[in-house]
Amino acid sequence: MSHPHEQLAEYVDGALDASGRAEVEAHLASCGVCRAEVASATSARQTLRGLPEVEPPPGTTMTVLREARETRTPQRLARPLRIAAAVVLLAGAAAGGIYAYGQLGEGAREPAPAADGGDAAERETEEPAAAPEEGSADQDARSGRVEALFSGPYPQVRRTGTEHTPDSIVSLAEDLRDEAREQLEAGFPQDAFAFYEAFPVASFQPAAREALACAGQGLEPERSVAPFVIEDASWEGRPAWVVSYLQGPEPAAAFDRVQILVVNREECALAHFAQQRLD
Amino acid sequence: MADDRELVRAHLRGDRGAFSTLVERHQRRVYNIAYRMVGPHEAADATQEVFLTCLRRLSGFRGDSAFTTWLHRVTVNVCLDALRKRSREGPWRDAEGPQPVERDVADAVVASADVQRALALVPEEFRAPLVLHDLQDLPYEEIAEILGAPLGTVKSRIHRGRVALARALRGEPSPPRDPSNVQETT
Repeated sequence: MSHPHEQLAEYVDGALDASGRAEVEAHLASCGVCRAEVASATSARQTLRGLPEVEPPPGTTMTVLREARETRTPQRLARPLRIAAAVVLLAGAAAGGIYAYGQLGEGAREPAPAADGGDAAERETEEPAAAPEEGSADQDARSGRVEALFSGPYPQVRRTGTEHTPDSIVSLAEDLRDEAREQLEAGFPQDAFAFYEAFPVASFQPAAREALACAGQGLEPERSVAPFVIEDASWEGRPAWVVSYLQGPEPAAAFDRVQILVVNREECALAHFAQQRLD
Repeated sequence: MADDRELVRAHLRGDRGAFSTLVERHQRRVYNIAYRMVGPHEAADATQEVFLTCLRRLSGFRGDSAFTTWLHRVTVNVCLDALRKRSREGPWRDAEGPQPVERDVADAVVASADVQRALALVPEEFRAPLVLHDLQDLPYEEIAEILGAPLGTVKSRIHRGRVALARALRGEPSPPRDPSNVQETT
């Protein structure tokens, strides 16, 4: 009879039922080779299971990520998955705080200076490309450029209170298309990868997260998106988020579209939709 | 806390923080497997290579198996590649070879350095299932999925790996490869 190696592993693990065990023991009674093996395997198992865990060297994460950034492979190979953006945003929010990427410098990630009132906040966000000259000393450094050209983090939340209609959404889409073109020309992140590097999900304002969690349900799963401007407004007389996204065919591809989703705030439900091509 | 699959999706959508969380979460497991597979000197490099490989292939992770199963598969493959590379560069042995243990291993507590040396003498095709089962405590079924091998083969290799380890600990030569076993792997 050949040696029942499979059963011997289970026998040593104590994973056999009574009849399996009896079968193996019957074989062992007549097979000195297997008896010796079972003794060896039992002691080896015990030795291995008694081994302590080893500690990974510190800095593994940093090393891996630095290396990854240098090779920049994820941008070329990664493709978007079919998922609701809400899931992404929540997962990102949970994960984003643990490790911050440094490419754009600290300035780009810092929240905008606190505005003391709604009007001030609006003025500031209405002119995101203001004061580019002041940063010119740093113009060679990407961090300097970004800091100078964008006032505050994205996505921007604007409290307009506008009572939107299908027509006003169409003109808003055109306005945001023009604004996005200007920003992209001025050095705004060109694709979703660059966007999330500059504006990690963890840095989004709570209002933005709330709006995006609802609006994300209305996104096309194949497209890669970056939230751009969010209006706190109204639709059919009820409070609404008017959420605009820059979209691209995949995370590493340039944005080619602005999309607007209107969601009813109370029901977190999609109410209206519009889009404009960027190219 | 986001689960692994959500983090993979977030990463593919462009959220860079997601991948670092995956590395943080799994590096200990990967490092421990690599340490036992390729030894202490190359474990850190292998761990790094595992995560870089993951990063390159993450878009191919379809989510039809658990992320950890997939990660273990990448880990084993990276380790086997490292061992193959090493064997092309010359048969690897620890500088001094295994130190025979002058006592009955069944009763003795064996120093982990000795075990580590002995593990390096266990044939690779047995070492991976052995490490996954007796050190990582993975069930036979998951190991079969990781290695892409039939369940019976996995059990048999675990047994043969244990026997080989005990022999190496006693300073005996490794057992010859079983031709039937080699066939099963193809």
